Amino acid sequence: MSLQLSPEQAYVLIAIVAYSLAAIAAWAAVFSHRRLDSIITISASLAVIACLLSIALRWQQTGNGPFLTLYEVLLSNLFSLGLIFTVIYITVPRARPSSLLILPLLSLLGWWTLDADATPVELPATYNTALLWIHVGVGKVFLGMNMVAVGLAGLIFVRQLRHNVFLTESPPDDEMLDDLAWRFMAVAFVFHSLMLIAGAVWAQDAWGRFWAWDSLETWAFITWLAMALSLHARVTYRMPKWSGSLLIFSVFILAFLTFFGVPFTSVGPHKGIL
Amino acid sequence: MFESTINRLRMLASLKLTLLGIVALLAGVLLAYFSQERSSVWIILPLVMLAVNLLAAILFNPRIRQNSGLLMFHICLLMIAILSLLSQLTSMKGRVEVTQGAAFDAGSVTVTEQGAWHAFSSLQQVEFVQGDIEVDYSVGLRRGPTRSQLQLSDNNMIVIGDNLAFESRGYRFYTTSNKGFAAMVNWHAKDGSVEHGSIHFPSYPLYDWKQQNQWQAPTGEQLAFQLMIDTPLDPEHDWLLQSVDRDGYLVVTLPGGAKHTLAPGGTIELDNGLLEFEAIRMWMGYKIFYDPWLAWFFAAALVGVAGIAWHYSLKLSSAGNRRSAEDRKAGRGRVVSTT
Repeated sequence: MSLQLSPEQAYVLIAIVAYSLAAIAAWAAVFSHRRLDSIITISASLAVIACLLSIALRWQQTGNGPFLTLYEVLLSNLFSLGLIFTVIYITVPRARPSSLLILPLLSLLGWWTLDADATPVELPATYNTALLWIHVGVGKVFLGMNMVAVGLAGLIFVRQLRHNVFLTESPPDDEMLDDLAWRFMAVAFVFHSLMLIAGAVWAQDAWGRFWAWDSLETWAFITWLAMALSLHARVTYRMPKWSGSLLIFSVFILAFLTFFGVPFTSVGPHKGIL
Repeated sequence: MFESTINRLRMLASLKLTLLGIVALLAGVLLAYFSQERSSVWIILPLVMLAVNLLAAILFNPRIRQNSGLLMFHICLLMIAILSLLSQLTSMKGRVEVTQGAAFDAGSVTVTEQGAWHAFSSLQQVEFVQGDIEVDYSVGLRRGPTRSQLQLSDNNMIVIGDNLAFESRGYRFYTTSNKGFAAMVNWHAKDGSVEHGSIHFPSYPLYDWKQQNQWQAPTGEQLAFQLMIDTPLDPEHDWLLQSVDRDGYLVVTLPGGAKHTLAPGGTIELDNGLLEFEAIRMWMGYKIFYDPWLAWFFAAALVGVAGIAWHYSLKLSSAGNRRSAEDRKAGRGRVVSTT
């Protein structure tokens, strides 16, 4: 990582610090049995604003939205995931325990963003469409909802491990966490489906085919199938909560690889090589 | 007898079969992905199994039948499966190169995929004449917007390009990155007849270094052509690839190895006729796509998602209300902290 940061990267560093502060506050609240909701809300909001400013600076410099390189995709997700988490943290108090896992995850994502190559790339002509915004927008909502579900399911899973008395004894109970996690998964499923539809419409307009089994399409479909499998498994079997958590984790891992791995390791339209 | 048949059909609606089908489809997709085999039997078989399971579930699963949104979603999934089959039977994919100033000729289309029920005859009714072509390039030869002008049968001019296809009789024509220069030539035979034609050179600027092609004259002479464009590529600056005002010349190699340089308007006298180099123009490579079920796919997908969203919104709001009521009854407040 370069020691000299550009202004946009300096904002990313501010976001990392703010997310880390919020993460520390979330864990301190558990250990100290104190309510630190305001600190978490303010820190997370600050991080989101810092990400937004970083995106704005880059946009001004490149003339394009953050859609192409790994750096841009990480930066835009650092913003969107943080925004979705903060909105849920404020509006759905039951989901607040998810902050214990999500905020450290966002901090790590921030470090990865800073480490990624920030060299700008020109936007291909086929990306100049409103469909890109719709496709990317609903995709980000999907990942955000999935991430919150992981935050909630992760707590259930952590409680299964030994020596976690403080988590086991603190409310809310597993039943509520599990119920809430699957609600977020249900919303995520709807948005993932919308992402596939918007992507297909865009691909038809841009490349003359709505589905071609390219790497990203295939892995996005695999993620959708994994979600369908998880939702069906939950209504078919009385699964132990920890195994439900594992299913939610699996979907998130697939989604994470699809968002941040596949487009940058394969050639194809999504990478902008036309 | 009837009852036992119904019972068997009910078994096909099993959710466990759904899980098995999804796992099989996941495995099939992964197998096809890593083996690079796109139409794999390992995808088709689970899809057929899931379609049968879906139909049985729609007919017999009370949970699906009693929830309108869920029913809507599953019917739409089944519709998409049926549409996929119809699409395979009726769709067509192909490609064609059309020279600037020339009319589209269905006979020169290379079909890459075609369903058994596809009627090729309607493609022959598509009419347009290729107009000017422009492609923006930025520093480093990064391709920008493409503009391809088409003259339609009613003499109207349209411009198509990235994200904008030309549609006629259900066929969609998409501009591609495949485009280049064409040498317009006339062959004057000894008997006084004249044949017009064009020689397409390899895609430009991708094959800037290889602007060569061969052509056999109507009387059998095999001629080799090399196009020399006056303005060389300049990757250091923005530039516009365009079909108008393009200067250059042709180097023609005769069967004996003799080379002739021809500027536009120049001619070469051969044993059986006269070759005239008329002008340099461009050609555009189009991708052709035909699928009469496209709008139905879109509608089924959208209605399906609306259905599942409706189902979940009803389910989640009723669960939320129930929990709030339980909380109020138990005198509990909302959990607002992790502690």
